[in-house]
Amino acid sequence: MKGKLHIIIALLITVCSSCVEVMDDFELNTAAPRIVVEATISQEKATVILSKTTSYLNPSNVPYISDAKVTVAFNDTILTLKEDSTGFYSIKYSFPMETKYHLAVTIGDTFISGETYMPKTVKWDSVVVRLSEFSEMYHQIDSTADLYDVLVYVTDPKNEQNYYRVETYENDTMKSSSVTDDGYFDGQNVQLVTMLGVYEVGDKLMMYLKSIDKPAYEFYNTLALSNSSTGMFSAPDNPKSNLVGGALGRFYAYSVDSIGVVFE
Amino acid sequence: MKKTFTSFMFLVLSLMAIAQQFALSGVVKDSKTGEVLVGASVSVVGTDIGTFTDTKGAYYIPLKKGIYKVEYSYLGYEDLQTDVQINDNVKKNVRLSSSAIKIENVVVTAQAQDYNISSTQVGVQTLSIQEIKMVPVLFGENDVLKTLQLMPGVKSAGEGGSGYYVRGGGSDQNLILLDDAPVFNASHMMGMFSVFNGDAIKDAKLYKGSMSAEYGGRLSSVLDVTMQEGSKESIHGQGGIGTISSRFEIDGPIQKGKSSFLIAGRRTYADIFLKMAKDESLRTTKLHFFDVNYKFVDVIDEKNRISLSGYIGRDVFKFKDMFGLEGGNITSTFSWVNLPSEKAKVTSSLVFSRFDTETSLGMSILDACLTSGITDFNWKEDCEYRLSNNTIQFGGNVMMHRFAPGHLTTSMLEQPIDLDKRTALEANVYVNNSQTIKDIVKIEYGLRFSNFIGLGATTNYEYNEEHEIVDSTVFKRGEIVNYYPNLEPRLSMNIRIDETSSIKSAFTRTSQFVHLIQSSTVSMPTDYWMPSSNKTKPQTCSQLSIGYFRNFNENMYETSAEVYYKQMQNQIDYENGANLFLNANLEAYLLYGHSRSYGLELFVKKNLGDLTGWISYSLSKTEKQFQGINSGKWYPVRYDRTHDFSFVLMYDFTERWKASATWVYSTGDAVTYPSGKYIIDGSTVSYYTDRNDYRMPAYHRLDLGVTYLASKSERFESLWSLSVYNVYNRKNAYMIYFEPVDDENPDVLQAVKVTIFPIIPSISWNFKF
Repeated sequence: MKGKLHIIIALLITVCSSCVEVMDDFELNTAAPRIVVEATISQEKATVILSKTTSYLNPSNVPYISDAKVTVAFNDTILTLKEDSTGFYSIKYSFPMETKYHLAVTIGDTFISGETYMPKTVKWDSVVVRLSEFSEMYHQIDSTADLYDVLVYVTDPKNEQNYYRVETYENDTMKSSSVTDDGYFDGQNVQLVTMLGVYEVGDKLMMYLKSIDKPAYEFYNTLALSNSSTGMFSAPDNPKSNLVGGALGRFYAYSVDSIGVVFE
Repeated sequence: MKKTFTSFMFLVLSLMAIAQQFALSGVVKDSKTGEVLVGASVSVVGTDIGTFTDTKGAYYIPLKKGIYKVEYSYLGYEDLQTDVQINDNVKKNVRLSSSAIKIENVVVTAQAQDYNISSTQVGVQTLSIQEIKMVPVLFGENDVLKTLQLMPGVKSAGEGGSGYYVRGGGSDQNLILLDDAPVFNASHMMGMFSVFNGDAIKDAKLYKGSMSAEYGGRLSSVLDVTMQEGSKESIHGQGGIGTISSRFEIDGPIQKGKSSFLIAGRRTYADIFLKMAKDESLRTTKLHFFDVNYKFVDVIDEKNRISLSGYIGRDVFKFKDMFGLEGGNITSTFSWVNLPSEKAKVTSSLVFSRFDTETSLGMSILDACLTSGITDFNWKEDCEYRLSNNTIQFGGNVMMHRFAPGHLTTSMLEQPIDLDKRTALEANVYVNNSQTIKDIVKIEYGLRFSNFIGLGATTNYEYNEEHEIVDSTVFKRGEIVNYYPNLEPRLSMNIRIDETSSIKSAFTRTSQFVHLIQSSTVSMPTDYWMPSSNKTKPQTCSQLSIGYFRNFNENMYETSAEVYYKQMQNQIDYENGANLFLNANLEAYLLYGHSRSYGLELFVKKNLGDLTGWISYSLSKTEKQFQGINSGKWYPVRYDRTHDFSFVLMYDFTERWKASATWVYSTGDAVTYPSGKYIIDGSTVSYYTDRNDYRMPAYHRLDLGVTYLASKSERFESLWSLSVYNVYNRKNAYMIYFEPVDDENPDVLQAVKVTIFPIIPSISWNFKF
């Protein structure tokens, strides 16, 4: 069986390599550089990264922007972020949930602003880990490894609009991230994480549930569409930014809950 | 005074002449099969009086009292001359015998040789089944839709696919009729093959410029496909074994000379080979499509004729119980043709059409089943009344649409997601007159009054800019939700310059009340149809076209040059980030705009001789403008291919050997690629500027086909056909993506193109008895 599979894979590679070809003479335009703002507020910290766009095919090093004035304001508090390294600004603070935050960035003559809301945390409900129905099939490829299903559930708060960003990590490496609203499952118990993988003793999985606001959801949702657009689907567009002042990027705040699985 | 008297006398004499006019009418049929001959020429020798048989094989010539020599002719058939004495209305049914040797060579459309210059219609393409069967195509599967793509003004929706765009209109703006039944999804295998089985098809006519007021419901074009009728004389059959599928057709009389049947079937068999596999999961995998066409005809008496025809087709892909994808069309048409007098014809039809899809996942981690569909019921009455210089058509129809946009049950959720089922009525009336003025000007004018009525039960929502519901209105079952009337004038004119040339022009207005929600350029199981609503207004289109038509060498060559300008309103696109999947509030994310298309189409066709074929060229531009896309500026649509060129050649070497070649060239699709990039969350994000500002590389391809008639006798015929797709193995870009040049420098990217069809030979064996 193993031999046969190798033949099939070899065949597939031959077939596919004949239909994929590098285009040497293909060029893309390079648009005039634009400012990019990546501003994030968690419950402990605010970080802002300032940079500019580069050429798509032949980029220079990322042009980070130094010496900008960056502030975050909420309620009656105004905090100025400190530039840790070129283009990276941050401040540690215990940022409250259910609060609206304002961002102000001044780069030379350019002023960029934005606002976001940190919703209260929605907690993971439960996690199910079990041997996968495909595990036996997988033994034909590797008889020593087991395939597991990892399913994580959440109970969505009823009658309120919730937006989530779900991130999964395997041994501290990000495996996936996605956003969803509760349009399909308001108030229901829902399986938000579906993972299928080979895990060994000592493997550690972490699942984060970030509660975010609608503009943040729209940014990540349109970002995913923009990335997945391969040309066969409708024309891609830039992610929807919630920044004012002509910059690309986003400003968002999140509150987070996490759940972990360790294989023993 | 004298002048007035002369005029008066002239008028009286003319009136008397009209009063004394009788008619010669009848039906022209094939002497062997009894099948009616459409477009056979009936002419009065020594005069320029003449006509062609209609789609039911019937003809009608107004004549004064006298004795005439009448000639009946039809391509591939022996001419027939007969003397007719007219002193009353005369009925003459005629049977023509096929000229045995030449019939296989007939590759010209079933129409008069100078039809292209004499008809009023501008922007009409007709394809005969012989042409369709001669043109080489992918995997050797003859295909009406793929052959149509070789005509000017018709563009392919994608490599190897059967979807098409007509003069800048979308693929959902083409009305495809199979014996009057609308076909919602005219393709199998997500667009790879068309649903039309060549053995069951008689001919296909595409109206892209002017359509008679009889047709409506879609903006861009009408493809009228007529199913073959069975022989009323003896049993016949044909079939074939090909690379992808096998087919079999049988037809013959039910009651000799009176009624007939035809049944044709086709099935692909990739999964039959899978059954031989050792592996169980492969053995139980299903991957096929099938379709069945049937037609029953009964000639009750000289004045009445009924027929029942239909289509059932389905695509099935199933991998164990883990993944399933199924879908297909069912259509059926019952039609009754009644001739109350020699001059009148009444056709009544009842039509049913349904399209549905089902996608399922059956795994312990994820279990889901998604279904969607649309069903149409249609009752249609068409009347035709012939006067000496006028043919008046009028009629109407009432159509009910049932929309089931989507229903999903899944283990992920506690409750299913169910989009509102909707019901809508379309009621249309039309009148159309074709008039000949002094044999020089032919004019066809008509008016269609279309009405759309959306019905409950449903809820109408009003949205704000944030896509939130701000107001809703609940409608009870059967309650009228919205009403859209639309007047659609149609006008076309032919001015005959001389024997061999004419100028034609047309103005057409059309409207469309149903809208396809489509996530990509290929047909997907998640696509669904939705009715017009309070927010989504009916789409409308106005088109003006003008053309010069000229034939050379006694109609051996036909040429034409046409220009057109087309404007479409209330076009639909989606806001950035719109979720098309089972979104009950999708309308909040719809954008409405307009599009325009204009172009020049050149066509040269050689109809007769051992070498036949055509060259077609279109120069065109199609753009859209939407508030909220591309900063409100006009942008080209993806399939805005500036130059589009097709070259089709068919050559008969001998009686047994024939060859054909097709070469196509078109400008690459207009696409959107990044003009910069930046980093968010440590990952690269593309930066886009103008919509569809880049071009894919130009597309071109050569296909060759050879057929060999292995044996031929009265009773049995066998034919081998070999075709090669993409002969010089052009690596046409199906898709372009970007990847790092090497691992050390992941930020430096290069463009990589994906080609899906390299050179593909295929062979098939066909038989006929």
